Parts: sequence; structure tokens; C-alpha cells
Amino acid sequence: MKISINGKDTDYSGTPVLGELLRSLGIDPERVAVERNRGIVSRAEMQSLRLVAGDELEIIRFVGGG
Amino acid sequence: MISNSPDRYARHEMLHEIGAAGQRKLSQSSVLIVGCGALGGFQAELLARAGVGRLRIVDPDIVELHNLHRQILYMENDAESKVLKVEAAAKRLAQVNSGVVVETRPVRFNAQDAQSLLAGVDIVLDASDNFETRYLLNDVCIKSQTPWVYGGVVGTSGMVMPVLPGLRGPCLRCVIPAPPEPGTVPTADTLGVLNCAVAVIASLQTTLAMRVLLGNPPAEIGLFHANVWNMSFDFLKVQRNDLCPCCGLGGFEFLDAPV
Repeated sequence: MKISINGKDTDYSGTPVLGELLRSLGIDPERVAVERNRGIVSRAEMQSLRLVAGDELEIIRFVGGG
Repeated sequence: MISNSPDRYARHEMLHEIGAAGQRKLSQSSVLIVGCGALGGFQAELLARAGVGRLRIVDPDIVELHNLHRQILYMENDAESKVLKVEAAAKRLAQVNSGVVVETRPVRFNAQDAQSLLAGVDIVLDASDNFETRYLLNDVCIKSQTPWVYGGVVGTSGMVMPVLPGLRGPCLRCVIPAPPEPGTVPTADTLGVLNCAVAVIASLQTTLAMRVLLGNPPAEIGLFHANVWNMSFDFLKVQRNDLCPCCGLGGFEFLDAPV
């Protein structure tokens, strides 16, 4: 199934779980926020949220400079 | 005296959002600005012109030539004479509005001094350039129930989020519990920064600060993101996390055990 991550379609087999998907991309879920289909994913769901085909994810990091 | 002439704030007082009562409130308010570079300079200038009572500015750095394109408080001679930013800022702000008390603290915002740097202020504006400081600010502000406004800018983009502990709103760590690994985040030094993006982000932070000071904070709290160059603007509503390590569970690891 296809999931869009930061505007890029990626193919996944099965139904991935958000926390595992992030870790497979080398991303520590504690250091990012995720927007899914235009809404922010609650911290309670960050690990276990099961993704579905067509989900659009944006990985959000705070902007640094000042 | 010009500094307290009734005409001075007339165009702000005409706004129903501020009014004469609001202007009086601003004149009795104290604001801490953490960092006095790009964001902090715009914030300080706007707040001084708006007639806040007291500005406390914290920054250990000196003015450098490559600051001038975006750090509006500083002049060429400040860079030439390598003066402390807080000193140059205080001089400029006294010219902008001699009625504002400006307190300078030429130090890096740090865990040991955090609580005394916050003493007596009504709100804190983040104008720092690193996440060690921001997560520390979040800790000390949640602990002392002081509102603060996160802001960051790099490249042509920036972000803003107000943290309002008194209203039980989400804090920085409700959104992202842990700071990024040091060295992984682009900064003005590594990526550059558009001066217009600085102005937009600092202006939004300052607007939020005024609203909080006037007792009219926004009803919805969230993360505002702008790419100024692309004219794209985004608002993501954020919920408080009851299990947040800071505001939910009451841990202040950045304040208590600084790395």
C-alpha cells in the first residue's frame, strides 16, 4: 500500500504502525511530531497508530534558528 | 516629555483590540526576551515602540557584521567596535522609547540563573538559537506558570507556538517530548536566513505576547508554520498531552539536571 511521507509516495507491505515506520526511517518518534491527513497525531498514538493506504504524513520538527 | 505624551500611543489606543486601558496594561508589563539577535531585535523594537513598561534582554554575544542584514537594532559601528548586543540594543531602544526600562543581562540563558532571569516578568519571548535553551525555557516557564512564546526561523521558514501554562494549554514537550540531537538542526550559520522571514515570525510572537499581556490569548493553541518565500502558511492545532513529561508529569529535567 502507498503512504505519502513528506510529499513522497512510498510502498509498504502490510499495515505499518507509525512508531515502527518512523524508526525504519531512522527517526526517533520522541524527537518529531507527525501530521497525518492534515491533523497532528496525538502523543498517545505516536507508537501504535496503524496506518492505512493513502495516508499522507508530514514529519514535523521544530524550526531552530533565532 | 515626549516619552509619556498622550499622543504617543494614539494609533494603538484607537484599536479596540488595545484601547486606552490596554495601553495602560502594556505600560505596566514586563517582558523577558531570551536572545537578542534577529527575532529578539524585532521583538524588542516592537515592544519598546508599543510602550511596554520593562524589557529584560539576555544575550552573551557581540555584534558582528553578518548580523546586520537581519538584526535591526544594530548599526555598522556596533559591528566595527564589537560591542555587546545587549549594550547596543539598550542604546537603540532608549532612542526608540526613553520611557521603557531596559534591563540588560549579558549572559547565556542557563539553568542556574533561569529562575532569577524570569523574576517579575509577565511573559517570555523565545529568541534563542538552540533547543537546549528552548527546552530549558519550557521547563522554567511551566514550573513558574509563566507564559512563553516559542519562535524559530531558518532559511525562508519559521514556526511559532504560544505556551500558556495558566490556561492548561499544551507545552513544547506535548508536541515533541525530546529536543533534536545537537548538530542535526539547520541554523542561520549553516543554512542562512531570510530577513523578511525573521520579521514575520518575530511579529507573530510579539502579537501573541501582546494578546496574553492584554488578557486576550488565542482560543486555539497550535503550531503556526510559515514559508515566507512561498507564501505558504499553516496552522496545526495541538492538544495537551496528559502524559507529557513536563506539564503532565511535572518533570523538569532540563532545569534540574542540565546537560
